[in-house]
Amino acid sequence: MQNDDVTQVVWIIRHGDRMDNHDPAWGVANAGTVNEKDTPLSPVGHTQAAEVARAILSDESADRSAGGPNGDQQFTVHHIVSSPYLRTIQSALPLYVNNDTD
Amino acid sequence: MIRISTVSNDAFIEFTFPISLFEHPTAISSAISVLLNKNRFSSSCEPVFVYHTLRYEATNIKLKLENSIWETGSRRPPPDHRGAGFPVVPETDYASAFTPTCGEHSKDFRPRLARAAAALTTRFPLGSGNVAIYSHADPVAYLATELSGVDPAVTAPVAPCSIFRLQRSGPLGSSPPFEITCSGGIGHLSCLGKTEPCHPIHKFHDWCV
Repeated sequence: MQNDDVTQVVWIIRHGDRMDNHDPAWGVANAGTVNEKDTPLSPVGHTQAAEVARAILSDESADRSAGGPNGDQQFTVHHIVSSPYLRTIQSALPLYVNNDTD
Repeated sequence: MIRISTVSNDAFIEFTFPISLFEHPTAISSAISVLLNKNRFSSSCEPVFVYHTLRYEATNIKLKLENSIWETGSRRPPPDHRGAGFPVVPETDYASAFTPTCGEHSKDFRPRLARAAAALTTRFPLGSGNVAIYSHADPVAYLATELSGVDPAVTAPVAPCSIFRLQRSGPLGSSPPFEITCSGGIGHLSCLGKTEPCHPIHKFHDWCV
């Protein structure tokens, strides 16, 4: 690695525990509704989402000077990309909320 | 209704609880601390029942919603969560690279994610910053392998909220391949939940034998 090299880190994360898996009764109750194919996170899934956000934000080997749209160096993560499904958006939310200046 | 404003940015999240849940103030407090308080993440799965009725409303969530990485085999597009039910505000100038065809055949999964990986590499070149991508089991596996050139057959199963960490270095303007530095890591999780790990090629239980 040369001195003028830049480093980029990409974290790829699967959404957290699904509500329809967590509680089969929820799946039955939502059969045929818009929720059936777009299940939210389960309670465990929300906890997992918070934990994965903490893991990413504590990744000290991620170069904060890697760039970003405004050259911001206070962020560990410069872009958060999510599938448009509810469970992935919910999984990404804790990272967004906490991705600020320490 | 409880409204909490974050200190460090303009986003806020509203928590709406039915009256009955106020009988469980400890759980509500835990739920709030999990999501909002820095360095106070929950180390347990206590607030289980609270999240059943938790509803986020965030006005400044600038997620990049990317259709190209949505669930494989979807028969219809997901609902638009930018509406009243879940008013997430995406970056207004961000448009998905492409939208997959609903009802795609399983043989099309990997080519679609290869195309998505190429598009994301173009959109986020070296020097554009670090990127967190939230997706689904098969897309996660295929994105990681397409970006790194690793055979998907040898990657780890994809557990819920597992992390595939990829890294690359080089001079600005170059496009070196990524190296997988963490494959399906779950050490950060206190609970695995009931959603099983998946692998796009191997049946998970076979993989573990």
